[in-house]
Amino acid sequence: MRIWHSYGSEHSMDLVLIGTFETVSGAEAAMERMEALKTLAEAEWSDDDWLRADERMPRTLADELGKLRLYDMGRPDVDIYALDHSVQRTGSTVRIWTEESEVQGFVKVLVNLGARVEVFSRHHWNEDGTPRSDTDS
Amino acid sequence: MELTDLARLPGAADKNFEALTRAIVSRRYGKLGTLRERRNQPGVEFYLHVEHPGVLGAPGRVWGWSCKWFILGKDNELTSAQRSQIEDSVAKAIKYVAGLTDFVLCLPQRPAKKDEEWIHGLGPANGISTKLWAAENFDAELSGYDELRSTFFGELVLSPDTLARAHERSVAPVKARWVPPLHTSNHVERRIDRALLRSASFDWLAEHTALIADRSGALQNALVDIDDETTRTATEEIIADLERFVGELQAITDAGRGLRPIEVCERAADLQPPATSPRKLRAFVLKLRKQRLPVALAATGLASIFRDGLPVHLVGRFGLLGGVRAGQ
Repeated sequence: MRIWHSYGSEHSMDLVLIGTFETVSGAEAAMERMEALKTLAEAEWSDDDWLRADERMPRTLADELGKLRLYDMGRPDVDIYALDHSVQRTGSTVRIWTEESEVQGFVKVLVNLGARVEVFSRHHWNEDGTPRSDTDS
Repeated sequence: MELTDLARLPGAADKNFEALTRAIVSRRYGKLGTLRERRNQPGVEFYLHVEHPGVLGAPGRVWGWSCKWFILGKDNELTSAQRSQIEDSVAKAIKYVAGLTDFVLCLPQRPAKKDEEWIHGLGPANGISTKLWAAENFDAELSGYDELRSTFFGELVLSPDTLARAHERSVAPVKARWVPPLHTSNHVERRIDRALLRSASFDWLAEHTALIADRSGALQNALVDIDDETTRTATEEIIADLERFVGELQAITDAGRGLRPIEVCERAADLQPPATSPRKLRAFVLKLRKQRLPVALAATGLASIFRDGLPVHLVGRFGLLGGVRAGQ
């Protein structure tokens, strides 16, 4: 996955999600799910038509989510995986960076696989957990 | 059968006369070509492009029908004002209906012989053929369409009065228990409303259109607060798209409320979904959200409103306005 290290635009949420798992295998399972969701989301977004009857929750999407055993996810939860974001695993920790404000799809996967999740914007906090003193927003 | 009896039906007599003529033409000749009509169509009420050879002649001919609710005086003569109205319609029809070959003037009463000759002479002078449909012609055109005749002139005339009496009769046995607020309208009533092109049957579409127009207005008002050029351009594009879609939906409602069923079907069939695709719209909403702009709220839910408005497209496509298409 692509790792972003520049978050230039102020027109973004600049969010970081940190999922801490009990074991490395839990974090690995989350990474696998998120890879699969990215592929799925990109395929779904390519079908783009108002007159498609099942556009809100396509059958293929439901089937794939079933296989991944992610039963609590809806279309918008999957869609965010098609937007710019990056994911990185270090041991039993998974970090996600996104500019969107929609994070439920990420949180659901992390929580489903047993993580404790921390969410913050880099506009206000540094990644080491210290507040950013140089911001007034 | 007296065409002047149409004045006894509810609604304006000239509109009833047009509805009758439209119903006859669509039933008798609808299979020979495509009927077209538009609001304030100059010269004729509607016209038909002949596509299949038959009683209207060879393919390529174009027939137009003009209805004039002229009540004649004692001598059955057209007044000079009535003559100039007819001349005006012929001229406008020739000008605005491309390729017009046959102009049918529909009158509720047959005018004096000299007027009839004058009418027949109007066409050749302008390179077309003119025909007169008066009482006897309507009688002949209605042969084989008894249900249509009864709908306008006989026992099938359903006026609000007869319906009210029928309703009174049907609830009489349960009158003591009859509490009107407990009884709601059902699909049959709605289907009848639609077939009769009652204004109420277009309320849902009008409400829907108003919802989209509201959102479009909210986006428009928010433009001044968007300082980022790219987002402003995207918003302007979406506003233009919404306005186009709203305009098309309004035209369908107007055609329905104006009792122009053919136009309703044509416009519904031609209705294009918004040019902004679902994915593009979703990306737009997310963009507004991540910039934490208040207008994000106005854009949220637009997709659902679009989807709920689109069935009108399918209504047109599958001709579900059955009665409407037939011009009842």
